[in-house]
Amino acid sequence: MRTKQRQNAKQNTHPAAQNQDSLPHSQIDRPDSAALHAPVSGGSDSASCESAQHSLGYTIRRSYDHLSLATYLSALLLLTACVISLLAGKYPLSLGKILAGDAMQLQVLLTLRIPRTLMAVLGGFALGAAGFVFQTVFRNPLAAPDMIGVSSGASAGAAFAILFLPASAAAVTLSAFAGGLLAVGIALGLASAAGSGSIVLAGIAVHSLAQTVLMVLKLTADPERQLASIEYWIMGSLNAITLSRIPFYCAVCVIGLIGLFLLHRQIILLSVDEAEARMLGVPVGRMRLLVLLLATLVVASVISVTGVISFIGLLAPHIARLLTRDNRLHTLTLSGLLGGILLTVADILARTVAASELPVSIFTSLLGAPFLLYLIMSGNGGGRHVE
Amino acid sequence: MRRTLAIVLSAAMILLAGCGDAGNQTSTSAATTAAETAAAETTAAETTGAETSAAEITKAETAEADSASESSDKAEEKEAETTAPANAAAENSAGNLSDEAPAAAVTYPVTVIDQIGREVVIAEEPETLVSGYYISTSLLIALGLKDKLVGIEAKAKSRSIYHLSAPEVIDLPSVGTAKEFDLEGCAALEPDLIVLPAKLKDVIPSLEELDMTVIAVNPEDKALLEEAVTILGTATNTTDRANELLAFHDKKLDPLTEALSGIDAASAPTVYLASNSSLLAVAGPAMYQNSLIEQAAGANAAAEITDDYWADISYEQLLAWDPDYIILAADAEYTVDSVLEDENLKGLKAVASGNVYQFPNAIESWDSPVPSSILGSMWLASVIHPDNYPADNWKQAATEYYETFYGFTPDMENLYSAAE
Repeated sequence: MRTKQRQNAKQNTHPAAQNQDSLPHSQIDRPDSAALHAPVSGGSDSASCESAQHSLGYTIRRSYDHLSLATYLSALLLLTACVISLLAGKYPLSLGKILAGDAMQLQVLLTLRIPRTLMAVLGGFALGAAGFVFQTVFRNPLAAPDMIGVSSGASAGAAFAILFLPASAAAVTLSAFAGGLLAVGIALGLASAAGSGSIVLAGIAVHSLAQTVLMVLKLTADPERQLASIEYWIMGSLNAITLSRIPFYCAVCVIGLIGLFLLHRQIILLSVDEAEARMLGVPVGRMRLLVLLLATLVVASVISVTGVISFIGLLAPHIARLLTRDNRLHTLTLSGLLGGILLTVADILARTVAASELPVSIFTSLLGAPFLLYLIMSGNGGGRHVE
Repeated sequence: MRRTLAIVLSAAMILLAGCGDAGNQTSTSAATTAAETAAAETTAAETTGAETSAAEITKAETAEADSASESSDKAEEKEAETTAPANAAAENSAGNLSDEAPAAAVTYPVTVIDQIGREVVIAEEPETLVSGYYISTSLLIALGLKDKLVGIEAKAKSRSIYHLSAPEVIDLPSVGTAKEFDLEGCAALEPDLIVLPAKLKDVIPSLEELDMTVIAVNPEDKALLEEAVTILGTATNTTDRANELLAFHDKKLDPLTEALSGIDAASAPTVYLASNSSLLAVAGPAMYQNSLIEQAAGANAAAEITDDYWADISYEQLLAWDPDYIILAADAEYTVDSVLEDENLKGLKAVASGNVYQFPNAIESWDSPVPSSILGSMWLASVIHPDNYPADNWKQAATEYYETFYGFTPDMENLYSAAE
């Protein structure tokens, strides 16, 4: 497999491609360097802006050519994890009984097992992809949706529901979703009022504000019942997912993801120098807000159902970039796939290693941390991909 | 090269994960997981624990408290001396008394060893008391000391037992919670004796510098609760009353055991005891609540759970156990109706036959380690063995208990406080 890939690379004699191969550290397509090496394609004799766009289009096309081995492998692994996830659980399911139409078996499969697996796959995919978007747009390897307060907003929303709304899982989920969106809305609103450069600061302000609200809510919570509920919600788990709870949030998540994939080219342009992006015809400020809104919408829809899940948004994009060594569409896809694998496997562990259910974040971190260590030790940390 | 490495590594990680999932997880991964879980639980417990009712207290915390007390040299002697008084009453607990006081009256100064292993000398019979913990406040009321209280913990309004037995204490100055103790406010009350939960042990040195006398209590399970009753009885010169309080439990347990003796352990109904915060959190055999199920001749549906705190489970797990009865904790955030109407539970025996109940909560939470907890066992027995054990038994016992110790007649028709 490996040799085949190398051959492919060699066959691809294009100078831009060689440039890519010889510069492992420049994982982002810098249109300037690409433009330098790529021949101006077509008969266009227009300004350098257009040539840069062409060459960028070219490199993006090229990325489809060897839509990497890693992507296929990940898709396969995700599928495997999916199957295991459908088979693993506390209630013993048997194919024979399901086919025979045993009511209880069908109930478990349809209302519990499948929704849970779906949520793990979709949720992991969404967190991974959103993490990629944040890191790319902010040109910061540590950027994550939490940065603009979506997790703390959702946590505060969930806490509010646990304290003040009639107890029901649906109310908590809805309130968490609203909290996450409110936090993001305020952050992006502030940023668009004060210029998009201030988005990180606005995000930090909203994040701390949401944390404060959460703290006040915790303080007023009854320690035995409500505080325990809040803490457990924040720890994140897929144990209470049922068919009736997820359709709306899955739909929102899928719509957001489609939006992100449609905008993937703009996302990558946002990662280059702002002046360059503007030159390339991207309305930088508005586009950044739109992309961030979509990414946080996706995250909010997931964590309002599952609770806060740590590390996937940070880790999956780093692994993806390490595997693909670039920053394009298939890296976005791969980030999502890896996120899906990570969450699905983590959830399988969370529900099977002990007699009780464990918080899923324990396993996302446990599975993910060795990777991050490897990235650091290999000296090729994802952190260096952008200057 | 690096790329290959990364792929191999990622495959290896996922394989490893897969193995763990298949149930052959190595001892290392199991150990790590266990460690992680323990860590997570401790954090949860610490954050929630502040003024947690004894019902929710983990053994881990108890162990923590124990190890803390072991650090002091005297603690070990104390352990040896005070394990016994759980069964025997005050005479036998003379280990707590430095001088041989008769049970009827305590001679001051008296030395007691509190539940974090401190030796406390009480110079004379305290006339004013501050209690910073609802269980100790409730105990002091049961010992007939409500008139001596000058300050109690925050959020007193939410305790129905205060409303019923000592409404005047609700308006007393608050000395804060276990999270945020009001040191100055407490000192300003100048009480003769302060009773604090073991969690507030950090503020004790400061109080002692102000010449305050402080006893720390840690009533987190039945034995510790009984020890706390004995210590408070000695400290406040109410040992007779303390003994009566302790004797009530045993006096009621024997007839209960006898009434249920005909029930075969193998055919005992399975009981799923759900937590206050969620239906999907259950009391395993290591929890205090398990003793209620045992005393009521039931079998814990969550027998395989090893956690010593409320264990989170999934709907699937509950469906797989399919218990005969689902019993909600007294202060459950959710209702019996919500369980009966839950679409995901419709195949359950307990739901189909309507065997979903909640511990009465209008007076006290009998499912927590309070002196009245035997009433919880009796109530549960009447629910799961209605033929062998009529409800009148516990109703009479409850009336007797609250009339004797708290001075009011409980309303046995309205067992549940109105929804908050």
